Amino acid sequence: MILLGKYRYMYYPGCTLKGWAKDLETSTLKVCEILGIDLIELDRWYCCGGVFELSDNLMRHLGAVRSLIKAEEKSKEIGTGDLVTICSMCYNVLGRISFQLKKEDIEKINFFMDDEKDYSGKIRVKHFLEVLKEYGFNKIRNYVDEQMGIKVAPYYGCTLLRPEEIGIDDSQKPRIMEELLEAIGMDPVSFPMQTVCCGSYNSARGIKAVETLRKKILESAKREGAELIVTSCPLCKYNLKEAMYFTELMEMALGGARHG
Amino acid sequence: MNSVKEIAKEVKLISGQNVFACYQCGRCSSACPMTEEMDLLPNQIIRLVQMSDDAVLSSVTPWICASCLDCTIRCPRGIDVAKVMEAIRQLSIRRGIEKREELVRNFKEMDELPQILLVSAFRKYTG
Repeated sequence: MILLGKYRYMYYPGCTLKGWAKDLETSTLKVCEILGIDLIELDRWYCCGGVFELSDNLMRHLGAVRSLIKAEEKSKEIGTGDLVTICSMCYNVLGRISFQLKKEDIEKINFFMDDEKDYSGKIRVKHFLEVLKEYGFNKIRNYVDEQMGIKVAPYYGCTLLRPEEIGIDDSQKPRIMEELLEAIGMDPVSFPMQTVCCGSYNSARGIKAVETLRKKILESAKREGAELIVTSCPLCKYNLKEAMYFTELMEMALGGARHG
Repeated sequence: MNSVKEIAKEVKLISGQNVFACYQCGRCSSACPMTEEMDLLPNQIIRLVQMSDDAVLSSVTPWICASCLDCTIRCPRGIDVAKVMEAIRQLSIRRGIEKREELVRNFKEMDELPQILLVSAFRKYTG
């Protein structure tokens, strides 16, 4: 039996956090250790698929549903139905499965999936930013020794905010990252293109396919005086080139190194 | 083939969207961040689907759409434009009119690409 604190969540890392975006996972876990948040990784999980299938092919949802089934099993052990993701795309896909997929679609998937238990729909998918908000930005403030005052532009991109049913904040005028940045002693800078998509997997056709867009987004942030851009999405980071994860900045601000 | 009169109906059956609600205001195209890479604007695609015009199946536009939903949240007629784009991609694949090979480059630096990029592109380009 694991001894868990008040803030405990199941954790779904997703493929990229175990590979290209290892830094995103490492910094998040460090932040959680400092704040006393327990993220318990699922014993088994599958790639979410990166993108949510929009049309009539339910077979494309199987991987994500399987992970939610594993989460339902795990939830009995640790006593919470909250499943946390850090990657924005994982949040989007799992969130849409758990909140948006019609009941009859879930029933159809359960019917055809012979080798798993049925998914009963009890899992609440949350993004790590929502977890931090629940924990309390004011409480986080207590862990910050120094007001660094760096002008930081939060870049939301598309998957944290759209579709609106699962968006973690207002789809066109979000504030959640600004509030967090302020709490960790930064000087948050909102900018016009912070909710525009970075071009997503279009960079599979070569980074040039998103070049114009990248320049527009970066210039939009710089015009508002930003010295740094933060994101929670590995693909946004790849496409923008000049961005860091908000969790890395948090680790720095909370004195990650000092806490061991 | 019988594509001329069927496209509008097939798109509706796959996507569940009623493209005939569109009155060509163009908000979808003004919101779309990828129009510079497209050969037809999103509102033009919707118009062509209304007319069941084959041109939508050979357009590169549906393959550029990354489903960021900026158009979808702005459409005053409630059309999920991204869903329509996905339906067109599926129709093109089902009919063997494919744009995918022209789109995907030769991955030279495969090791350096985020997994999320490969997975998403693979899934979108295969349907």
